[in-house]
Amino acid sequence: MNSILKKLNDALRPKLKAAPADLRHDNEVQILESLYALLNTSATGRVLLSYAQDCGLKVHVLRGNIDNFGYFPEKSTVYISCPAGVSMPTARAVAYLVSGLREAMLEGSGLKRPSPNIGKERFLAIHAERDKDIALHQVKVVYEIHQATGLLEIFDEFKAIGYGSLLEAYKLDMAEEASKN
Amino acid sequence: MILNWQKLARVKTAEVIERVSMTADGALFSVATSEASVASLPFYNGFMLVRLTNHATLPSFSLDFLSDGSSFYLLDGSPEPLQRVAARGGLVLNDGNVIDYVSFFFKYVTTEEGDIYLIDNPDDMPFLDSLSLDQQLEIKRSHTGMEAVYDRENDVFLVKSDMYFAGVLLKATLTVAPDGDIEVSEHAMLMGAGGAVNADNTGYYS
Repeated sequence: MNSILKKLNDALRPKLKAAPADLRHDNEVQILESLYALLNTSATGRVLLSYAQDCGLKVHVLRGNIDNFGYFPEKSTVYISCPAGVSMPTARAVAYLVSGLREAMLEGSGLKRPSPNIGKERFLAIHAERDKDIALHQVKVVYEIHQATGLLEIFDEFKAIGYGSLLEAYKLDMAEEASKN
Repeated sequence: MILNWQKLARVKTAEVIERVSMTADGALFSVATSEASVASLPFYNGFMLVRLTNHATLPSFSLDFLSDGSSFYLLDGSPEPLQRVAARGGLVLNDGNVIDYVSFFFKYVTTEEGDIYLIDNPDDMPFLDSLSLDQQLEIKRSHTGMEAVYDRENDVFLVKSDMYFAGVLLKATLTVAPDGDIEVSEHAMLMGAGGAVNADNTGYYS
């Protein structure tokens, strides 16, 4: 425990360097390599990566709170964030990247985010359909990465962002499928 | 600490975006699709928390800064922006606001080993529902709220808090210097990395 605390205390009091000039993460290349390597272990992840490549979708990593991410249609770019100084993304970043890539794919496939003036019922229905689709892609990728790599942290991180019940339900579904075969 | 966010007027928002847009990815924010909000923090004098949100991204994308209106320090997950504000004399700690400061610090600062959670309410712990009911009850039983005292002799604040970090739940003492530097020391481990609970709270669990 003492070594963890020493590491923590060192990280909490770094020597102040010159202020970074922009928002982009210094270790963007290494972070994206790690994320793509993880996504490539999942069949669903490979589909998303292949879509991104075919469509020339850009992915950038900004310095900042890990929970910030989004797809910017105007720039055909998915942004994710990682804390400054880290070179390895947390497993949570995989789920966020999946969300950004799938948002892009849905926009490209015609299931765009609805305009608010199409009527409340239809607006809510499209929103719900998109959100369900994205959550399902996230849980599939998380599950498949765990199956391929045994990485337990990805389950913990997925639970930490509030998808614990979804993950448990998906695991039960998969167990039921497996018992049928 | 509940933040009282105030939306900035379009003119002010445009000024903030103009400052941030000088950077390579600053064009992520535009006046047409973004908005800025500010919140004051009880431990800062002359600096506010500024949130810039782009509503054209899916989902909307936000970045938070500390700013005095002319300098913008991106809260980038490292302690550096907080150190920069403290170095400019913006941090004013007292025993009435030091708990808010450490809560804010650990909300915005993370490390290679992951997030650091100060546990004010055990029901809010991110991993609670992955533990057995016995473990949950034991953790709630041994929980104590955050407390702060000023140590006059050493000119530091001592904040006692339950803390979750790197899979370990511990009772920690945070030594907070007037310049905002924080040092963590452990005085009892409540739960180890495997999820085993130290039921008698002796501090000898490892």
